[in-house]
Amino acid sequence: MHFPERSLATDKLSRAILARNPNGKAVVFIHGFGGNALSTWSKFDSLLPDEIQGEGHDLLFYGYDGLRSDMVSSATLFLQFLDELFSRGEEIVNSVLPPAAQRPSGFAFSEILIAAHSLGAPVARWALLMAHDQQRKWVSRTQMVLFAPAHRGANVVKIALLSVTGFRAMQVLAGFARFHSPLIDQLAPDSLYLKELQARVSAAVGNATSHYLLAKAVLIAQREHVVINLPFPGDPYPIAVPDSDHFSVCKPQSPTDSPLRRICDLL
Amino acid sequence: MTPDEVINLQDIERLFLYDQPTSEAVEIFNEHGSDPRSLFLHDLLRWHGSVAISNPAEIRKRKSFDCLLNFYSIVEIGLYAGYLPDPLPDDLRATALNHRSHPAVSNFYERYYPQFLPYLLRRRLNGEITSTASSDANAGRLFVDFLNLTTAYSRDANIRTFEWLLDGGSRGGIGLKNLITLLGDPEELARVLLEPRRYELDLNGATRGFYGFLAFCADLRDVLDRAREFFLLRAAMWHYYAYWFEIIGARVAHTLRTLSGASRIGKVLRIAAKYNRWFHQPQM
Repeated sequence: MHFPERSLATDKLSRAILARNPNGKAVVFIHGFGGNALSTWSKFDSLLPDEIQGEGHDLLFYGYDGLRSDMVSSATLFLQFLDELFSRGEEIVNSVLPPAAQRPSGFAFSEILIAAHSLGAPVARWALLMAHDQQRKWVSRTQMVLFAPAHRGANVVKIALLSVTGFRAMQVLAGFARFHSPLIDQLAPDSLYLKELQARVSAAVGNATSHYLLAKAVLIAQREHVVINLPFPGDPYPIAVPDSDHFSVCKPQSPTDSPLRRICDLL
Repeated sequence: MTPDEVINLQDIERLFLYDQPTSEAVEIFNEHGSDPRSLFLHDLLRWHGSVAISNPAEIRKRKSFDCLLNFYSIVEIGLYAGYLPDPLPDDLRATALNHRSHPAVSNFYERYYPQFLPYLLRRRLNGEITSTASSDANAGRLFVDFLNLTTAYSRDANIRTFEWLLDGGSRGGIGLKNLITLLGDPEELARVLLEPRRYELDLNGATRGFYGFLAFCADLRDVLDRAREFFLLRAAMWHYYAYWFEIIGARVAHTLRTLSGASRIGKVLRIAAKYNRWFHQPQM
């Protein structure tokens, strides 16, 4: 069992569901375009704590402005978040736990699995690439699992309205919107940001087949109308989640749903 | 009291007492609570129909009392879930009884703005009623899911704006009628949601709050559905939101129906009509 959800003292947009019997491992969820720290990952917060594999893991739902922020800025902020987690994990966690449940002195995160949706995928990979280039020791203790990743481009206008209301039929209004965001260009299929990310990751990874800059698993939606489902070079081939779309692909409805099972497999 | 119950109680106090703006209510009570006829407390916690509440400081102090009452409501629900120690520790018991029993406070939550859960807690602390806490771990899990939902709901400023309009209030010159009009105009709706002008920020917030409220209703229904076998816990969780689903339920239902009728993207908004069923209270 986990504690109820709470804010982190260091970061008011992010939420934490902390383990009662921690094993020093965490899953960090990062939402996509216009998403929300928790609601993007609806039901992971109630289903994952009930899984044996999820028992000791802290669940951290990272929040950021995914509607109007520049992709690389978001990546640097996410890098800071990961830096803090690995360097000050004990302080961050204990500051929001009751006195009788404080983690022992010396508590630190040993491994972090990053689950990223849509825009969250290139943001997370840019952050890990920066950590790699800046020789952060912790980066080799991370893994990535991606849901409907936008690393080969996305139609942002198409999801803008849907993302702020949460209602699918809002998509039909998207054509009316005079919406401005740097992400429209940054997530376009010919985006310089995505091409640069691809080139830099390829150079860093070389011929390795397993590397922290490559995803451990990629799940895509069966009915995808927002992102381009082409694989990122070096990533494993994607697994399609039956009957899912861009938004439901990261929202398991039951303990047997593949989004939950894939994460459990990696814990 | 088991070690887990100690941790749970500390945690609930942290999340719903110390991390919420309750300290002002506690201070006011410490200063004026010893006098059952305290004019200050009776005046502060009056019914808004007698003398309107418009002073910002007064609104803030009343909100502090609301938060304190919410904490006691959460404690009562936690007791049904078997998540908290029963009986409660003596110090919390004494403080809660003291707060709950003051005539100004009890009038506030029993007569003017009826809330069932603080009333039940007062009766429980007086030894007038007893209830058996669930020993099933699933009840504790459901309670944690309920707390997660409640935390998300209470920190959503847009839902607060929508509720304020629903309750007959206005903000920045915007009222419920403006929201209904906006929902009937798809192009304007899209523009206000994505590119609001500076003077439309309240309308933008209220519109987002409307969608947030619908999503919250669906999530709460899911938690209550899963709590079917825990009758008391389920009813207690429902009562936490009874103000919206029962006390002004008819108005909420009417508004949601109007909003769904006004919108030309009706399919989505007609989901609101489903919430009629919310206005039927589950049996205790």
